Amino acid sequence: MTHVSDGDLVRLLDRELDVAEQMELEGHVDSCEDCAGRYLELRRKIATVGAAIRRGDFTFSTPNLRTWGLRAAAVLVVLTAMGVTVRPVRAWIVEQTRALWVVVVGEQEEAATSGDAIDESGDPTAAVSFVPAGDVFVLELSTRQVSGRLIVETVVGGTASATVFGGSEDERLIVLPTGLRIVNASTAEADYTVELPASLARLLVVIGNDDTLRYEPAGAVDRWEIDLAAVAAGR
Amino acid sequence: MRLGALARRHRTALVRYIARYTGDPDLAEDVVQETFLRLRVRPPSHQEELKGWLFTVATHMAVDRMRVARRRAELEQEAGHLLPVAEPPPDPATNLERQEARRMARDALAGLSEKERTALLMREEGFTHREIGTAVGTTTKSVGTLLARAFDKFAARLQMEEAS
Repeated sequence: MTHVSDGDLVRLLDRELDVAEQMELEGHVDSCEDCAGRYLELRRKIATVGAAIRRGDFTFSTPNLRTWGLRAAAVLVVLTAMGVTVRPVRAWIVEQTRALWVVVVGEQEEAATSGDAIDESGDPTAAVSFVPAGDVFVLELSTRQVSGRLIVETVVGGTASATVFGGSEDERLIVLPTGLRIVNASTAEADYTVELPASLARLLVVIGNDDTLRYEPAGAVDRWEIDLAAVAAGR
Repeated sequence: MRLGALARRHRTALVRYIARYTGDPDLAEDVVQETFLRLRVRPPSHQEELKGWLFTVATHMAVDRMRVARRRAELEQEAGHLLPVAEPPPDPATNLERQEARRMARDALAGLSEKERTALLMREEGFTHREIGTAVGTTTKSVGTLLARAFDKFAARLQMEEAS
């Protein structure tokens, strides 16, 4: 048999031959000093080339998701523990979570809570409760309605709430960083009750394209009632 | 599993392969990004061909990009507009030894033909001769010869570099 070509030696090393070829070439290499030497030389060369390629590799900073996940979980555990035990930390977490949510989502829609027991015209169709971020509160209504009332009351405590009565369930209450947006339609007939902390310095009410209404709460018992139909009629 | 998710499994190997091929890690990231975009638009007809498809498409893209860059550099030089190429900012984590090793590997690879380079680097990534043959457009049997030539050239160049 003639000597094994370099190409076939590579195929032999890479196990790319069929069984018969493999046996034949191995038999030859075992018995041929020249081919055995070339075989060993090729194996050494391949190892050198591979090592040289790998030694020059660039390092890519691929994030290790598992490590990052564990770190994030550890931070969460610490924050949760502090949030439970340290009141200022709890307030800070609430505030940061709210801000982060607004950044991510754009606007914040609070999960509906059970409607407060304000006995208006039947069961509430939507409700939210939340903690206002600042001392100026902006209450927006998308538009004027066929009929309905907007009642704003100040209450003792730091929590605010909003409830929709008699709505078609299309009305939505969206908590914003600066206040509350009520998404309604001009054909709606819903009533809205909004309770705000008496500690607010100012309340601004914007209904559709109307001029902004400004209120300055004077105490815990303030109450403003706005006839949405009257607003529609050109207050 | 969706094709995109399957393809992402090969991403690291693909970036490494193209970075070795081009000697440019930024270009490698670009090329791989583009390859994944191409995958969305025109995926391979069979899922089992995915890995080979990714490496082949990325190789062709890398070759094209290098040709364009080379041609642009030539044109700029002819026009006398050649600006000094800024060295990348020194990376404190990268030691001199690695930089030297990288230069030597890049020079040695540069001495190979496109086919030889592709075959050599695809072999390093564990491709079979059949897959390499498909990628470079040659028969499975002749891949051994192609590789043998590539090993010879690369090793000779490396030896020369080390001697100097």
